[in-house]
Amino acid sequence: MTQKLHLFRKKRSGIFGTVILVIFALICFFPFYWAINSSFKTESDMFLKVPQWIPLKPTLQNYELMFNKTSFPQWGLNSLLVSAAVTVFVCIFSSLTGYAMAKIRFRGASILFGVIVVTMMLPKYSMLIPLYTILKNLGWFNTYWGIAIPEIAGQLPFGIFLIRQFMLSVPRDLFEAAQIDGAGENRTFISVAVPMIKPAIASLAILTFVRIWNDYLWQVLVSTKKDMMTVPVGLATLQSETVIMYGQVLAGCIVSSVPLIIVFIVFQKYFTKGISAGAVKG
Amino acid sequence: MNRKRLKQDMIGIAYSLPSLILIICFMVIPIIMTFDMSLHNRTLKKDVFIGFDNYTRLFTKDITYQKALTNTFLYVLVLVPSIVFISMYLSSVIVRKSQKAGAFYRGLFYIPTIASGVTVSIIWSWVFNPVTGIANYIISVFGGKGLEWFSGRSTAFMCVCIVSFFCSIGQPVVLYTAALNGIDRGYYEAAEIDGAGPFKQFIHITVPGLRPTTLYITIITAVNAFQIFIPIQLLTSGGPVNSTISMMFMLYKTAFTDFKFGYAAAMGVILLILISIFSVVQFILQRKE
Repeated sequence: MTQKLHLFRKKRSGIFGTVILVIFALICFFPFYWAINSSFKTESDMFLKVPQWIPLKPTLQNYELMFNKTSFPQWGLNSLLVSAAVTVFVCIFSSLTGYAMAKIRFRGASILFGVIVVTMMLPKYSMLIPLYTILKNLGWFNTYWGIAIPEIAGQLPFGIFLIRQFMLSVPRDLFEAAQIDGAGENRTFISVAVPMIKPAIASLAILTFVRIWNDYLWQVLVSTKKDMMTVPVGLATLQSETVIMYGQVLAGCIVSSVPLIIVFIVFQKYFTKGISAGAVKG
Repeated sequence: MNRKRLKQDMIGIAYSLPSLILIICFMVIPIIMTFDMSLHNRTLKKDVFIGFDNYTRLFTKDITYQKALTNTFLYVLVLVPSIVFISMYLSSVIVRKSQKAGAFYRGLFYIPTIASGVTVSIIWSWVFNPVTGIANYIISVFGGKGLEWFSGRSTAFMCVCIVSFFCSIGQPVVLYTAALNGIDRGYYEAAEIDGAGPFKQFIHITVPGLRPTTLYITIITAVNAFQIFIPIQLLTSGGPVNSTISMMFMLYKTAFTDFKFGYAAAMGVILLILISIFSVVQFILQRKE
């Protein structure tokens, strides 16, 4: 059967389609290749009239400057702290609420579900201005929690929705059996529910981490001091300077995105799961 | 029995409380405040109730906003069909490849989504650099004249669209390839026997088979296109002469550069209503499916 399917696939793979696919793939990847290539060149080789397709005198100079002359290491640390904290809290709170909504019959659950669906669909940026004034009044600008807490709130509706979907697919008997055995609600949650939906939590963790690591619009508003900037904010600031040090900026882009791309390649199946689960209608 | 019910309510609420507090404080209240702010002339120094003046000004007097409005609709009209059709076509080619090759292409188109809008915009700006950019070099190799990219009105608009296109096709490609694997192969075999070529098969089997996925992708792409911001902020700053300015970019400028919070909040409400209309349409159509 698989053999037959394979033969069938091969036959239908037309030349025209493949050519189009390769062209789009090349255009999609080319800027990354070109950025990596340029980041290993010396300042003078970057601006040659006839460009070098591979660096003829490869150098780490741009990376050294990025690490020593800019605040890039600090930005990396900030981004890492914020993204990790947001991910942990989003996973814990989403699991608790998603479990409660799917498995505990409590009054108010349907109202809560309504709030979650509505906040999930509304554009996040339409509430930017009041959030900005609230945070300003609280004096939370340029603090980790100022960056992180609104991000946690912003990711929660999607997270709860995702976990709830997965919890619904776990047979109810399993929870009831645990409770007959004398396990309380907390015990059932920790020893039965969480292990059952580990893959869903993994998907949620990866998607959340990547989203926060890459988020720009909120972080640029709250982190205005150089030491408190996150990676995207810092890079965008360097990019907006009058004399752009392209070598360093590109090196920063590479350093900040390559780890995520590796994580993506290793955990591709979790990404795919999370992305498609979000698409399932409630 | 009643006591058990009460206990369940308590546990359910306790489990939901942390999420609920955060969502109310940092999402629900700000949304309500946006509506309220939009009725005020609010800046850093003053806060005066002015009714619907912000809205009338936006729609009748503010030429820049009308430019932002038309541009945003243009972005949606260019990006949504091109992302939907091209990602659908590419996916239909990808699923015919071997498993390994398929995973490779899917991953490749997802890379810009992983690498963030800021990074992708910066590396494209390096490619499009008018003086030393590789794009102009490639054009000159083929005997063409280099373009001015970000400093020409229509080319700047095109650049923003290209960058946004490649930032956005990752998710549609993943969703489409998953959906395509769900279409019964028997249809294609039958079509093959009836002598239908690949193009006819695409139109008559693939496109209808993907309807629910297409609906979902159209909506999320439209919602994102309505909020297009990062490529504009990093590549063109809305210029030249406001030719690339979008609603979201203007909202950002008005609120956080000029600090006209009330006026910008009115823009936020308009954006929110536009996007809500899209979401409601999606909801109704999905119920029909």
